[in-house]
Amino acid sequence: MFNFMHAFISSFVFPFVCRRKFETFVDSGKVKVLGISNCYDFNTFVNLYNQARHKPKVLQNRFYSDSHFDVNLRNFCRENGIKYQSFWTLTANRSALATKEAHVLAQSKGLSTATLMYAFMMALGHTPLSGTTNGQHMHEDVDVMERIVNGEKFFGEEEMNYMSNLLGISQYM
Amino acid sequence: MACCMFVISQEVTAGLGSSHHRDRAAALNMGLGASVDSSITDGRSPMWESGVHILYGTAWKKEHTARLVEEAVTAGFRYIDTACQPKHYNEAGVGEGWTSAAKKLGLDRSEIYLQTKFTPIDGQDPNRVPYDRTASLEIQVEQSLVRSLENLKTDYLDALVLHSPLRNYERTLEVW
Repeated sequence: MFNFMHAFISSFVFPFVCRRKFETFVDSGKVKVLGISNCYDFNTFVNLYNQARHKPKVLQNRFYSDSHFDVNLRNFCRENGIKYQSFWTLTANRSALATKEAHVLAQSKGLSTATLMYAFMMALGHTPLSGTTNGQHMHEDVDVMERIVNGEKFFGEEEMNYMSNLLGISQYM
Repeated sequence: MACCMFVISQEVTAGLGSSHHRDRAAALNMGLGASVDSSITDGRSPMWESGVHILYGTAWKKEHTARLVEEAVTAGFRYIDTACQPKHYNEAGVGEGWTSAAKKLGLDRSEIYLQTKFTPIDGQDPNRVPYDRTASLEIQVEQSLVRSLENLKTDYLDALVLHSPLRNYERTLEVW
């Protein structure tokens, strides 16, 4: 009985109550936009989007091969003005970024493999998270961000494909 | 069996084919401005207008949170992500950090993007739940927001994210 009630509350009451409550914060101006994290199921996210009175503007997910790099979700986000925020961006792609190819590409642009990865995410129109505790890396992250804001393009079309292949994104395309 | 797997992989290939082009198109056109929500960018600097940014992540920084957030903002980060989840985040440290940096740099609250999360009870450390665990969900969400605003020393959030704990995210997916 408890399990049944628990499942019932989780599946039905929780979504409804939570969404409704979240939306009142937007109504009252306490919160500008709403979002969700760790949502990897395309239909679930689209249903949420369709049902919400205040549409989600943020999707924060781990960017990795297990989720096929969220290809469909990321496109949905781009088409609907939702910011796709990636976390674990470096850690989850550590082996790809440790390759000679990644180092050579980064070096050719005067970047580290970390800032190369962040530049790639921003070139895709996404927002990477950086949790660095290193002051030097903070400055490097800000520098690459500002260079892109100021119109610098780090990747041509072929290099975007090259990066995708390197990360293993292409195998799902 | 091998045949079956081949068919599946073909489907995956076919189904996602166009996505790659859209990734490339987005990259080439830098179609970033178009995807930015105007309620976030109103009257702000080029970085806000462009929609290009890196979020400073504040998980697992414990007692160093305030110092690191201050350092990050001083270095030029303007977007900050945290959560009302004491198990992994020191949200009050984030509040201390960004306000110290803002004071030092002469930044207004509107020049900083503060994003936090409501974490359901399953994702909280049972000994450090930042709301009344016996209250209704609606009250818990309310209490979590009040706590976040206090911790972050602000009267509004730029974004509130529903935090689905990874270990049972499939269930929490049904949430919102």
